[in-house]
Amino acid sequence: MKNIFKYLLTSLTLLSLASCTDDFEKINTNPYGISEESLTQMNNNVGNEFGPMFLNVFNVTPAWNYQLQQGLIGDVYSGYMTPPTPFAGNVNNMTYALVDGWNGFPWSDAYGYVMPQALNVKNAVELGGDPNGIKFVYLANIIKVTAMHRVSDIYGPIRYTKFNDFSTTGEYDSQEVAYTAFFEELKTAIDGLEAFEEDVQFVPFDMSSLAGDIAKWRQFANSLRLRLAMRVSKINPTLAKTQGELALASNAGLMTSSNMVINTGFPHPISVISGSWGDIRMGAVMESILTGYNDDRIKAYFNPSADASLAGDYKGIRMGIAIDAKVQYLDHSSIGSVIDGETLTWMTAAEVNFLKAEASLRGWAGAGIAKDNYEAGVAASFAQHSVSGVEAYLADTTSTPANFVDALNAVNDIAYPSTVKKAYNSSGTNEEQLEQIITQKWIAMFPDGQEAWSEFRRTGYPRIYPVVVNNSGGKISTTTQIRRINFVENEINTNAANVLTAVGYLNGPDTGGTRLWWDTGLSNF
Amino acid sequence: MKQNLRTLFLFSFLLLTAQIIVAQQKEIKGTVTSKGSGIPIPGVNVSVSGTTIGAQTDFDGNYNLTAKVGDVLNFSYLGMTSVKITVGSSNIINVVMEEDAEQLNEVVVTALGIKKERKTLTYSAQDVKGEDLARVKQTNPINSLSGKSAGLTITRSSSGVGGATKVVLRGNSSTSNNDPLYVIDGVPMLNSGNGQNGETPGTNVFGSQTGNRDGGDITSLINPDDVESMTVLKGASAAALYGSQGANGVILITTKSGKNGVVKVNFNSTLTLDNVMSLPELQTEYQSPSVGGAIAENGRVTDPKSWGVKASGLSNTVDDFFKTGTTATQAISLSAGNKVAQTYFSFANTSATGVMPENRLNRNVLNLRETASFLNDKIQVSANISLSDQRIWNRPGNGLYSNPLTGLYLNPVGIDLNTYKDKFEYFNTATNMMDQYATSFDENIQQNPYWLINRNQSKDIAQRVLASVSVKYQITDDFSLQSRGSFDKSFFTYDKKLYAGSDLTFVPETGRYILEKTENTQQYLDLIANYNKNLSEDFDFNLTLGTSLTKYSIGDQILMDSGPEGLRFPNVFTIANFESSNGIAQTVSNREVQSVFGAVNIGYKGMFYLDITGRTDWSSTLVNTNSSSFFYPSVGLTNVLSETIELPEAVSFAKVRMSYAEVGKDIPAFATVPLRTIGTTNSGGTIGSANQATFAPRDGETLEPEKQKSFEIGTEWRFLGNRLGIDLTYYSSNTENQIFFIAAQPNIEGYTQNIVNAGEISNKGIELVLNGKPIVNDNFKWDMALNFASNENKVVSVHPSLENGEAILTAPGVNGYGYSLVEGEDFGSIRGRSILRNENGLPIVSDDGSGSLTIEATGFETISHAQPDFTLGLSNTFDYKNFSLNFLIDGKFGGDVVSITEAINDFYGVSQASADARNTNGGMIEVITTTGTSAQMTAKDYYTKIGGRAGLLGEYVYDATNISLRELSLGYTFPNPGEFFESVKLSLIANNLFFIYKDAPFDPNIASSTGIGLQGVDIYGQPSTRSVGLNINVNF
Repeated sequence: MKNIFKYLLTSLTLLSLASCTDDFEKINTNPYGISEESLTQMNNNVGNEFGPMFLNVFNVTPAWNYQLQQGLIGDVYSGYMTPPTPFAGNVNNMTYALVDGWNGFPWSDAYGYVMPQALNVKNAVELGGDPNGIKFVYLANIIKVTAMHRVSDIYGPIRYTKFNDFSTTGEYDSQEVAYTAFFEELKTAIDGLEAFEEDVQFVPFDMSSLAGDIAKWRQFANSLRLRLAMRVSKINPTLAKTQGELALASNAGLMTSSNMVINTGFPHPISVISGSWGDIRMGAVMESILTGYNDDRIKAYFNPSADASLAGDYKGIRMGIAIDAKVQYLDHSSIGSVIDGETLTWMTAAEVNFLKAEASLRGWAGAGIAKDNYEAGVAASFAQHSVSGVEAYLADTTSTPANFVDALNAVNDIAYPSTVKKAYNSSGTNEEQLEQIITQKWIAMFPDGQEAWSEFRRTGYPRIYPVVVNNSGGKISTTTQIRRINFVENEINTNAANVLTAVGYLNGPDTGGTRLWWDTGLSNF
Repeated sequence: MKQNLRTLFLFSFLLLTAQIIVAQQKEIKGTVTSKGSGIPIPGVNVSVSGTTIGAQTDFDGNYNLTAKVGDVLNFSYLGMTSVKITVGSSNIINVVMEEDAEQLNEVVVTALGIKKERKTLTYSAQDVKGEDLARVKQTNPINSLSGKSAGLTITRSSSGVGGATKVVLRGNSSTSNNDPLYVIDGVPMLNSGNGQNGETPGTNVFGSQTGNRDGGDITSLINPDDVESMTVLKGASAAALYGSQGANGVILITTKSGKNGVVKVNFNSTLTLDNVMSLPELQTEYQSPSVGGAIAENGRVTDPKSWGVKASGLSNTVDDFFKTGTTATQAISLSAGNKVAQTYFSFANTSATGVMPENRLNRNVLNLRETASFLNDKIQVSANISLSDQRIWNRPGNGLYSNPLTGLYLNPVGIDLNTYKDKFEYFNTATNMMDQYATSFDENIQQNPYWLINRNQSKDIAQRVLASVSVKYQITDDFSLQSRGSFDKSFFTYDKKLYAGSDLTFVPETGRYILEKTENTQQYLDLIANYNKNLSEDFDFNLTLGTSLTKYSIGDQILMDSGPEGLRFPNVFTIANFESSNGIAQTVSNREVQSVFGAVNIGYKGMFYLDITGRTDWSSTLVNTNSSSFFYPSVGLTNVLSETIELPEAVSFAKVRMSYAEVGKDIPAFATVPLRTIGTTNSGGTIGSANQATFAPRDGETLEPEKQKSFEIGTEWRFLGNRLGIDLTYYSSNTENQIFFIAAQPNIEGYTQNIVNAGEISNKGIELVLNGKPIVNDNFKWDMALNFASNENKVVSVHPSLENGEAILTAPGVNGYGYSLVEGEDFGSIRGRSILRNENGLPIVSDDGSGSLTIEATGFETISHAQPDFTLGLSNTFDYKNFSLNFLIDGKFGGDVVSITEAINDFYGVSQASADARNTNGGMIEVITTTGTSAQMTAKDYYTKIGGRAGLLGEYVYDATNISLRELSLGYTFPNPGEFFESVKLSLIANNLFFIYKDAPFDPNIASSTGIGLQGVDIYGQPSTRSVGLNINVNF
């Protein structure tokens, strides 16, 4: 009997020593996952990374993600649109009670689907060893700058130049450092891509209307450089002029007659938010300007109100008003055919022309005549939306934006505080000319509210109506309006020390009332 | 490992050929019978004291062995008083054994199915016998444990018939899973349901797009009539032999089996009627401003809220909506057997209709168990197969979306819901099809309840096959070898058809179809050697060594969701009609665990018992970590005081026990091999791209198994011939290396979450079980049992990287509700905001100058913990002649719960509270401004600011204390049932009869989820039900 124990113990000991756990690695591997090795097939280790980037500069799906990334920040603060929905009891972004649970999405989209992907491209190219692979790095960086300047224009300081190294990835750059890096990366890409203009390797991965044409990508990057140069024109006129003139002189050219459009394969998220959900409607400023100007683009941008009592008029909602129930304003003008189709626009030819117009005004070499650029911008926008009558429009010296009359509540009525006209007035002051340029650029850039809000903050144009209900608890001034979004809750939770440093880069407290680096609050000239 | 198992099998068969040679002196034979009945007793151990010689009686109670004159033969059998007889001249020694009153029924089934005498246990184990479970039948047998065992908390899901049950033993100790292990007849059972149960933390309290749903669990597929008894092993010591699976305690279920020489047919029929109770209080005094206004073609009214004028003659139709549910169960069982083979067969059908319209259940469970003995009972074989099929139509969910209760409660007061009942759809000429007719789609939560019930229908199918075989070979009298294997597989189908016309936020204009097919599989194989020996007259020795292999494939799912792209042809619900394949995905979680374990029990003179166990698990999930295996030891010691020292006569039995154990849990499957997956509509990430895994371990960290160290000490006393019994336990456990999913540190891969080992949760508590028989005489008997348990539960630490010591399980996001683990607080802190008040309790408001007042609120802070401070169960049984009356009072004391339902009802002005406020003080609420000036705000302003889904939920916290009459039964056994029947018993039964005390506006024993999160919060869950019925039990 003693022996039985011995044998049993021995065999059990053997069992424990020699247990065959060899296939544990296999068992513990998700059979539906994709390994990095298999991803190298057909160069997907590089190509696959572009997909998320293309679909997250503007998040395309699910629509609620777009809604939180753009729809309830730039799209409303730009005066473009307003939800009829009193989200969270009407205590929300619109009434300046910034909802932290919403406002983290511009950040998480960028740091989940753009920054890591651009790094993956870089790493895969370096690992691959093919010197021609560098073009993918340049292209990824162009998209990265497209995405990240928008993020920086929301929060200010971002994690950027030190992102690629794990030990420093949590550290923030001041907005100035980030912008300097944007310019540097754009320059490197524009210059570096020149040698690849005939290369077709990007064709299968390009989801944009540029269809893998490297020459066109250089043109887009150069146009982006002009946009960013203009953004810093007040805080650092020298840097702005240098970068602007680089763009104007570059052999890459500028995107003055074509648009940068992404073929997403998904309905435009605004069509879901406006159409299916009924959660976004025309903004009051849009109504004032487009109806005051008798601007036919209104037919592309919006649908007449469905409310019988509004007799089919185009009717907008002022942002930041008291709303009890969604039904009250639900039947105001929804968003029109501009968001039909499975595409999303990153940059328009019209914008580039308006950028050139302002460059002329600021005396940058190579910009041409302001009036010509202004009129080319309006014409490009009319063409983009297949609207006729641009000559008559540009000749109109009388129309001014209309005053806003709320359909339900006179408390929200407000006069448009300017008589800015459509026909370009070359003899006006620089400020007057700038108001014309930015107002038209604002119309043309619809529905990219993020850019429109940034330009409003930089220039003060067009005249966006202040909120009626301010729930910010004194953090955001009704008159100077919202200037930024406070840092992301999740970052504060996981990266507190670095966020604290970043707050130090700001001109004030970490609130929506503090101006960004390029937002000087001083005069435009 | 498989190879090794095979070797071990082979080895054991070799052992069989070994001969055990014993010197022959004199052959002694005899029969052992039971006193009273005179029936032979099989399986009695007969041993010669001081030697290794021994034998066991066969089925006819016969034994034979060799001994010499003067030897002492020791006859022992569990539950019988041992008999010692000295061998004399006779070669035949017949023995009559007597049932031991002290030990009667005190044989308990312990880990791995090992039967032990209760007095030898070094830890707390509580039996619940079949008759106690069956008295008031529940469709899920686990629900019958409520109030019957100290330290066991049962929370039912709010999804009504067929819903899952959350069982927690001795408090929550883990961040990943607190479900106990269920073991049926010695074989661990897979209790993974289809969703919710064991779901990862962070589930959206407000409901996913199609509503929070309960996927059910497996215990609800067990036929309650098949259960012979359940044993609750609460502490880690008791469960240590189950290793990682038993870390949360074990519930052992012993099922019925056939008996030798008995043919028995039992028929049991139960019919109960269920009605809702604990409905929210809704007002009928103030109508919606919509009343009298235009109603659009699609049914829309002008204002969906009810903040209009006071009017008379209003009513609400909530009562019309709920129906009387019925639950009918017919169960038949047949058992028969002879010496060699015994059969038990049962079939049960449950057919139920819920209290919500269109909610139905149909369940069939078939069970066949064969037991057989060969080679003079040396080989015992048991085989069992169980098949279950359950179909539930329109299982109620909770949450805000696709839930008829939101539209029902929020219906604008004064707008007749019956109009919307009779006409829940209208013909939309624009689309040429039927469309929803509803008062409003306000906030996407207010649809027509009747539309949802008829046009958002779902079907849940759960099917299960459990096959198990056990072979036991008694190689010698002392040594046995046993092997068990089981194959446990369940199949789930979830089918949901959402018609075009539903809220466009969730359902595209062509409709939406979701079809899920899920399989859960567990394969289990073990081999256990047992050596049992009286080493000397004083020392008993028992050694168990074993090994097991378990393979899991859980949540092997194919999910097909037409998603936001919708269907090509509206309302044609087939996957061929999907507009896009973006919502099609596969998932699975695989795991394999290999184990070796051993246990030594040493008994000394019936006074001291020492238990030592050890187990090592190798788990596949530990790949890429520093530990490939983990070891769990346990040690326990018992002293039977009544055998050791002289005690007063009144003390019939006394013992003290203590034990220490370490158990653990492996880590989630695939966690250490983060792979990219292709994004789909439901998985997040970029659709169609190979997305980075969403979570990974932190940089430079590896994962370790979770580890729980626990200590318990207890004592058991019985007085006055067992008329009074006390069992008291104190325990303390610390769970370390908890698995947490936390927000990711800044990283370059794009991970959004880190999976980390961190945190420590401690549980301390006292359990007291009191049993009494105050009156026992020929005609009248009174039995009572009291269960008391208190548990103190603390989060000692969370991951050091987390700010403010807070691990967020559910972030508030846009809502007013959060759920976190916070250092220094109880497990599960419900987070919300509250009104800032001055020293007199007046709400502080700020005035922006225009007279518009804003209520000042705190930030997110802990507003409640749901867990009770202590629980109490009191059961009384009175037997008078042929009548038997039983009632069970169940109480939970302490803890606070939160009602989001009330917050939203207030916001919409439909709650009674909102009407009361309008009736008081001219409808004005007294407030004070930040500058100290008294002010007033209207009830409407007040409630629309504090109520709602994003409201100040700190104002909606209620004491969870509740005492209820949980069970009541009155039975009558017919004295002379006639020749044909053996016995007939008729009982009137009631369950959940009423609350003796309750503060919360809902039943706090009902949970929004049986998963880890969402505890203590009601969000439009189905109200709990009271059931009253009749049970008839006939034996043939």
